[in-house]
Amino acid sequence: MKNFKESLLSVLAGIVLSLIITSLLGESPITIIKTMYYSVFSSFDQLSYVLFYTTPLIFTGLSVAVAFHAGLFNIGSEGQLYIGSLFTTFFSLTFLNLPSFFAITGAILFAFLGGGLWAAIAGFLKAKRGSHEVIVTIMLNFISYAVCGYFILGAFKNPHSQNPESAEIGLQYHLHRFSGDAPLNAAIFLAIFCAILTWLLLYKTNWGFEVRLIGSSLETARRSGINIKRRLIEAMFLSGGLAGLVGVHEILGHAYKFKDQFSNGLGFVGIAVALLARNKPLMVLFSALLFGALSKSALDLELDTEKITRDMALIIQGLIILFVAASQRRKNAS
Amino acid sequence: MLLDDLILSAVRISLPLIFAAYGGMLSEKSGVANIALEAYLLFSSFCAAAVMALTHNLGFSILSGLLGGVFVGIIFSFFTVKVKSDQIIAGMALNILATGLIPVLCKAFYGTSGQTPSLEIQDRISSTTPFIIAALLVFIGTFILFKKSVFGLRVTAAGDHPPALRSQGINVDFVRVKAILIGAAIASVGGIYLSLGAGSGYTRNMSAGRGFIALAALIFGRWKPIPTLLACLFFGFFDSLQIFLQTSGTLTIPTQFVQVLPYLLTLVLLAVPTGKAQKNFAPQAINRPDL
Amino acid sequence: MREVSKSYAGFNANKKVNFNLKHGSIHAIAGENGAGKSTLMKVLFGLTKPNSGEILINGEKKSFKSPLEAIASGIGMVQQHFALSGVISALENIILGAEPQKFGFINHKEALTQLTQIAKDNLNVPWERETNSLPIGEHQRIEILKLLFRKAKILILDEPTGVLTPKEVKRFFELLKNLKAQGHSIVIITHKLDEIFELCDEVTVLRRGQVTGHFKVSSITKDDLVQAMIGRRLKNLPKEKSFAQNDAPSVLKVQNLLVSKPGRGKLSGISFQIKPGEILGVAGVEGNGQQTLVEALLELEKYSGQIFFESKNTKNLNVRRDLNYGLISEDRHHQSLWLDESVANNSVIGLSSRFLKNCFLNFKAVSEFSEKVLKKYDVSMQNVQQKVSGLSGGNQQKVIIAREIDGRAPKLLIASQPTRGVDVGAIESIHESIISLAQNGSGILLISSELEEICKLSDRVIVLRNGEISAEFMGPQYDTQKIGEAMV
Repeated sequence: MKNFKESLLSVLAGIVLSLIITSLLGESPITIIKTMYYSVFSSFDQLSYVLFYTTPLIFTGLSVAVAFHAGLFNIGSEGQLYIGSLFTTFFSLTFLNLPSFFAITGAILFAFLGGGLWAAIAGFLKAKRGSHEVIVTIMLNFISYAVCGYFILGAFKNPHSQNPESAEIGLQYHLHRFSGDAPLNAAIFLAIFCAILTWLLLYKTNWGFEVRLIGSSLETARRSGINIKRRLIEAMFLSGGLAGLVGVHEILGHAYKFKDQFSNGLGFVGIAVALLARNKPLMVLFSALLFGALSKSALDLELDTEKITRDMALIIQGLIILFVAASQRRKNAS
Repeated sequence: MLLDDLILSAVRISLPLIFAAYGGMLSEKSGVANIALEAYLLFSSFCAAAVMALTHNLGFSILSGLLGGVFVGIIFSFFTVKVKSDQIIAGMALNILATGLIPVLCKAFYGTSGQTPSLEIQDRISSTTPFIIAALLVFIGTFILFKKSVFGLRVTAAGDHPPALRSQGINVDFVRVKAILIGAAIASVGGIYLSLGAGSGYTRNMSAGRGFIALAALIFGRWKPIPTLLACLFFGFFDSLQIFLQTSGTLTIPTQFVQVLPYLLTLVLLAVPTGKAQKNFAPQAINRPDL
Repeated sequence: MREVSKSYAGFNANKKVNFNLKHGSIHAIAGENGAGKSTLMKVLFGLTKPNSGEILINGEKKSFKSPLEAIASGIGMVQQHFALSGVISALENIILGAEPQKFGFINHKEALTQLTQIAKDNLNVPWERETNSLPIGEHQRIEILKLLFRKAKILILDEPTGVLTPKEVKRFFELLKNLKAQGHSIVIITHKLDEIFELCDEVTVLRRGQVTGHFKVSSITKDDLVQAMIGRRLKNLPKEKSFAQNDAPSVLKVQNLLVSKPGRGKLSGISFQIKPGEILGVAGVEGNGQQTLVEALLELEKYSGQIFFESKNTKNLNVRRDLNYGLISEDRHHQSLWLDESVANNSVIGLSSRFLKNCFLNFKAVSEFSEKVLKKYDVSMQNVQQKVSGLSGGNQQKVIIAREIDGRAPKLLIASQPTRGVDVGAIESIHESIISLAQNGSGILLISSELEEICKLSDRVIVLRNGEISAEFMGPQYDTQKIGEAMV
């Protein structure tokens, strides 16, 4: 309850402070609040856009949260989601004649596998070499951008376009969309399913029991006979796999191709999502919804006001992260 | 002739890395992990360019560039040193904040989406020389700071074993705040170079990950002045070689391979056991508010 | 120091303590762990403020708000854990915080001149070497030099010899005697009797925060001192019943166990074995290798030598998981418990894989198990779903004992300080559990700094001192005096 209050306060403080900043820049806070409100709640269509922006944040929020539970700070979700997208693109451009069910299942598994393996590198180095996962995942992020760029401009290139993007995937890979215009698609069910599954894994299985013990009381775990190295690598694999599923949402659900640099920070927003949810998988759903709404309404701010751009969302995110972090000084994890 | 060009371009590319890396070094040596270098670079380059576009006064412009970076440093040190938030999370938050705040400011002031008005040639610092001199000064200054000065010694102690200072009645937090702020000012010179020297005004996301390459160079250089300088130059050299090879068309290795080199090398360095006694080169007190 | 009192959260660390240090003398403050020795000296050094009482230096009343003020009055203190940075040179460590400087630069020459003057012949350290590369004995000297460099006349040393080798101790004592001859006054916090007799002029004994004796060392015997420290002559509680199966093959056999480490915690080639049903007591002052022994037995620390469990070499095995070792760690909060979880979940740490039901943990079974094993320990709590952090220390310890003894039913139990910070009633039930485990044929390694506990439970006692087995005793009746002497 205390945590919830602190989270709420952090969100409020973040929003209020950014409203102060914007009103200093000459935009009335009331206009902003009104615009944001209508942007989210004015129609069912708007709401479906909000859910569309929420979906990838659920994946990246879960990704960061899982790693946190193991005492690891994964700021590599951004890279992992790209590699997951790359794997899923590879799968869908390679197996052209699969029936839809197998096509989509395979693509989902590949997205998970790609992100998971990429993150497992960091887990492996942490477990076997003691390399700090933060530095390693930062490096892996940059490497992933280059790897994806290499394939998108090379082997997977879209022959019909000058844009840096892959070829289009076949129709059998497309996820169901709920209404013609709004991009909300079936990936949101996958996201909710993942949140529930992650919750079950972390809180209801022996694996989760051990992982959480490692994250919150490393020395006790070390002395209790738990195979810490293995659990760390597995936790990173799961964390990266969840991030990789963003590829399902983007490529099978939305763009139908891999556009270079499409994410533009979804992995980093995941940090804010997880922090605000206190790493509770089911709370991640709500936290992601908040940040999804924020992204959506910031887009409308750009359209409807003269002085504010969509980057307003980043300001609020940054502030919320600062405040949440200040209210929960992290216990020593390494 | 050709080699001269190559080296000059390598130095140009290295310059912002050098400033950022040494800025980060001060903070990290005092025991505060700093992944906010990107925010320093972004905000200082923005402030310098914005004020230049407004006042056309070089002095004001440089000053506000420095102040812009130091402002980020003040927020960073408040959260990391005073509040003792997690240093990585705080740094991350500042990077996000800077990438968000600057475009909003640009829109409000200039009606543009994330850039400042393009600067006339006379408003730029078109010669690289002053920046090279500044980089040399920073290098020599840092070297002497850690080798000879009282403050450098205290910074080192604060980052390695804070009780050594505390037991002598020295305020560790104060040492760290000073180190962070001086570091922020140094890194800001790199930001100023980006918008006034290398570019003509601020463009969206101007630092383009250089803050992180600088961090990689710092780790690769094991937090020591000379190896860090070499790492920056090395990364810069490969980048310029890559550009050269691409433009001359003599060799076509994918650009991506060269781009990732700094990151890949740092990763390899982290992955290879460092030999005797697994010596850990990072300052021991980094992100350990319990010490 | 007059009538100094200091209490922490209702606990009286010092109660009206009087302490009088003479010019040019070495004065020991002796007492058991937790007797209030360090607290008293922290008050003197300005690290903590007393609740009442006053400090007089050369007849002048002083009140120190910080160590800086104490240093200015000529007082210096070497803490038990050295406050040295490893990556700077010896010289830099000495001058840190009081650097001779010119325009912000270190005046290296000036520092070196001053230091060579202070050091004369007997205090030389390699000034320019990185501190990490120097042996621990040198670290100690650097700490002393730090005080002398700041012109301290009163030196307070908190357990200074704990980390030194015997050879280093000898050199160190010569140094202290020299300093005394130069007119310094020295306070040594210690519990080693030998040191007091060899080095000191006077001794003040503390017990439970109060002074229980003040003697001139030349006029007392070891016996007097032990009595003042412990409060009474040690009772010889004979071990009542032994279940040791001395003819059976050993449960645990340790041969030439060697762990090299700088400072505290090394082990220099020890050997011992434990028979089924036997309780082997490991006596000794803390920090003499006990921690390392536990870590090595758990295969968490690299060692040379061999360890056999029921004739199986345990090298690189996960002994807790695969050989079902029981373990009671000395640091309850950090090594045994999961503080933000429930009592029930804490009851199955390390055992959780036994409660699987179709891939899921069966939390109902976990709760039932927890209730079952805790039943006989009479833990006062609402229910097993309560957070373990809300329990008292004694009750937390019971949760651990129940898990490791009743839950695991191990063939080998490693019990390190099993009754630390536990009330009398709980001690009784913990002891009973240990004994009944032995009765069932398990071997037990009992590490404790409570001599009474060791004597009451053990079939055999070994004493660890400086990483070596300094003596071995057979039960059932122990001469505690002799064990005590082997410890210190």
